[in-house]
Amino acid sequence: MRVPIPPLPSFIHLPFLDDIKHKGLKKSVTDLADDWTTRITSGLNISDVRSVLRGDTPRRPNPRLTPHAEGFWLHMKPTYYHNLMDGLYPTFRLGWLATFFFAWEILTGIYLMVFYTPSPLVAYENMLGILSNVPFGRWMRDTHKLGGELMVIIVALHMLRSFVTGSYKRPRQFTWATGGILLIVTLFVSFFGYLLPWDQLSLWAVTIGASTAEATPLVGREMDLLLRGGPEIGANGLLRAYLLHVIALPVVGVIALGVHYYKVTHHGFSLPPEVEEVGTDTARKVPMEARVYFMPKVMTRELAYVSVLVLLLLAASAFSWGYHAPLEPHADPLVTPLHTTSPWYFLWIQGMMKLGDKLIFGAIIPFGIVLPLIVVWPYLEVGPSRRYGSRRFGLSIAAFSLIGTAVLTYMGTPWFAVETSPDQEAVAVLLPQTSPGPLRQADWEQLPYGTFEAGQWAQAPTRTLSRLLETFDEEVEKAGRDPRYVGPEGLMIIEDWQPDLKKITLRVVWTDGETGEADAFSQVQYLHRFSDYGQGE
Amino acid sequence: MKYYILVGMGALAGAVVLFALMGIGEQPRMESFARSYNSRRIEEGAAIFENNCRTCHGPQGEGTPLGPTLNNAAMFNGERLQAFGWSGTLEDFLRGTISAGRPVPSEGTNYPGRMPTWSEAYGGPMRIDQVESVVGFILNWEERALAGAEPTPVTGEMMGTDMHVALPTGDSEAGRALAEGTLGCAACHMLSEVGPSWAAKDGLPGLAVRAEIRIGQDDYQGEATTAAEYLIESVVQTNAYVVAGYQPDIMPPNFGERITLQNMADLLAYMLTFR
Repeated sequence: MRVPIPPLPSFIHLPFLDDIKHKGLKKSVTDLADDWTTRITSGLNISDVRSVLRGDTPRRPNPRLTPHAEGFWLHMKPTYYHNLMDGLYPTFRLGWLATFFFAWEILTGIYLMVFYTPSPLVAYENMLGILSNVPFGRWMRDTHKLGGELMVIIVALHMLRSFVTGSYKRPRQFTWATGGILLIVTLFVSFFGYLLPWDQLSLWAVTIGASTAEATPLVGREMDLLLRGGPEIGANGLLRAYLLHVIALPVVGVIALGVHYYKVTHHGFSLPPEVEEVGTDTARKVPMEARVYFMPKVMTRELAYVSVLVLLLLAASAFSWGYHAPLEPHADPLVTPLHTTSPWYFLWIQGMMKLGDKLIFGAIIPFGIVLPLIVVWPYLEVGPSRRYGSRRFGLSIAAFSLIGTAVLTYMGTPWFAVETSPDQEAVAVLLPQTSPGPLRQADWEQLPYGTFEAGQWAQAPTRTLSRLLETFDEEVEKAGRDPRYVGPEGLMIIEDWQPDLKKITLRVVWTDGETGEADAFSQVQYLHRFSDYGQGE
Repeated sequence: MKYYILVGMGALAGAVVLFALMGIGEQPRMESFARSYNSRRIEEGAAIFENNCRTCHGPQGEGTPLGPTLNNAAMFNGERLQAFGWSGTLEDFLRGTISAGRPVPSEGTNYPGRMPTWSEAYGGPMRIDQVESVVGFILNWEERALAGAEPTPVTGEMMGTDMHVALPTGDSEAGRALAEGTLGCAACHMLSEVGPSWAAKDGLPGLAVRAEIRIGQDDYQGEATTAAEYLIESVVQTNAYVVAGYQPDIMPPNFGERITLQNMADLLAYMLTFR
């Protein structure tokens, strides 16, 4: 008995079956693959793709131009570059790199978002979860943090390069201005991301940073409240920082980046200053013989850069010796750690605030003058020449700003003009409050019970202890140079406290130089056999 | 250009290999991190305990007249939980007790204060993770508590509630040790405001003298005829007579089951020294 095959209803039409009937199976499949490749690449069929990869001369009309004209992804990429501009020099590909890092941060950030809730009740717990219970969690967190820090550096270098080569000059003033906005966005995205782990580091870095908002003229109190969500950074402040970090600022960034990238392509990459007549801009008039087409040369390079960068970034955090994002103890508004600072890229503001009035140095100069000045600079400095010789004033300002920023950054660190107690500093060398430090990382087994004098480090029963005591002794001696500290001595008391738990007391005793009375400072650290500090936290 | 392709493909392959390698190592890494963080919790818990708990529970959790022992075997071998009729784990018990405090004391104990609430969720000062740290610290006593301290077996005839029973010769020094240590009398009495003080205070004579006066008072409802009997009655029949100004049932009613005749004799000898 034959099974009857019902005829297809008339509204179902399968041209592929007709193709097979007319052309045979093999030809139909290759044609279909060709068709799909052409659609996906917006204009290149399989043999075109192969010729791109082989570096062959394109057929005529050149199919490699259609993706730029018709596709989305390449519509903002130039079809050809000037042969002076297609390599690493003179742009160092910094703008491209910044875009790469922006994408990298979005991808790794989305992974982390899955495991994070912006609430002080659980945020820190989430961090521990990411580190202890999420596959690749620590890796993604590390690389997200590293990418963010690198992005700040790269964006700043990109600005410096554009300034030095005079690329902000007419007609690219607006490109520069959008770049200035992107710089500000980058700094603040990174800054608000700092708060999210909700550890001591984040809370205090952001508290210091946010305190400058309070100095804003007229609306300082309101700015401060808006930013912190209350008199102190709490649940509201964390939620706001989170939303700024993951939505508001990235959206501004994407828009500004779109405009910036469009303007760059629209005006063409500005050529090295020395190859153009003063006052002319020939970036868009690339002679035929100087053209380097995006496909295949530049594209291949950029894809290779992407692969290599991905590998390098992943490798940088993959191993124990690599970069690991810090995680300090849970945020505690009542405990201010010694040596707490704002994020490094805002240290210059912290340094400036040590110069004097908070209103002037903390708010008006950095946020009212410096950052806006960066944005509008090309509309102020309008000299037509991009040659270095004609821009002595501008370049001097750049050099001066660089040195100034470096000096101010140093001044922002705790080592400049911060009143400290030498006794606390001596203890903090072994037991720093913002990083694990030598005592916590010391070999637990090598810390014998007893009371040990720092000065007697040579007689310590173990090498580890001897080294720790020696360091301690050096620091205590430094304290002795202060006339208030007469005859300071360091003590380390190690007690058996619980199974696998030692209680370690660091004590500095001295005689007060003014009152002649004995004084002491102690700090206690409990150390567990398996606490295993130095995993990059 | 072919070098770019080669390098790019190589790097891509390298990234894939790296992912695979990391994937293999992730499980042990996560476990090691979890272990290290539990250890750090214990460290943090130790510091919190030192600042908040030691005044009542002793610097090493050995207990004081103000709060029970935490580092003994009973805590870890289930005896203590059984006494409460607690069916959950010790960890849950600790977490609950630390978080919410203890509005009512355990039966058989009468500490002068109540365990306060510690968790923010119950109006206390500690964050959830801090409570967890303290729990971790207390649980860390387990090994030593179970290995070292077998609960001291009570030897000798138990006291019971009869105040006329013949007592052996008492030693007031041993009695002092009981009052200030094992039995925790000192938590409420001696000089305290919580229970009647034993020592002479504010014009009142000491306990032994007061006992003589009490049995002669009109409102005295007990059966004691001597100061010694009055004191024994107060220990083993706690509600026989309640001193004016105090509520009944505050003094634990089960001392008769907890102390031996010798204990009673020692305690009595000690109490009679307060004149």
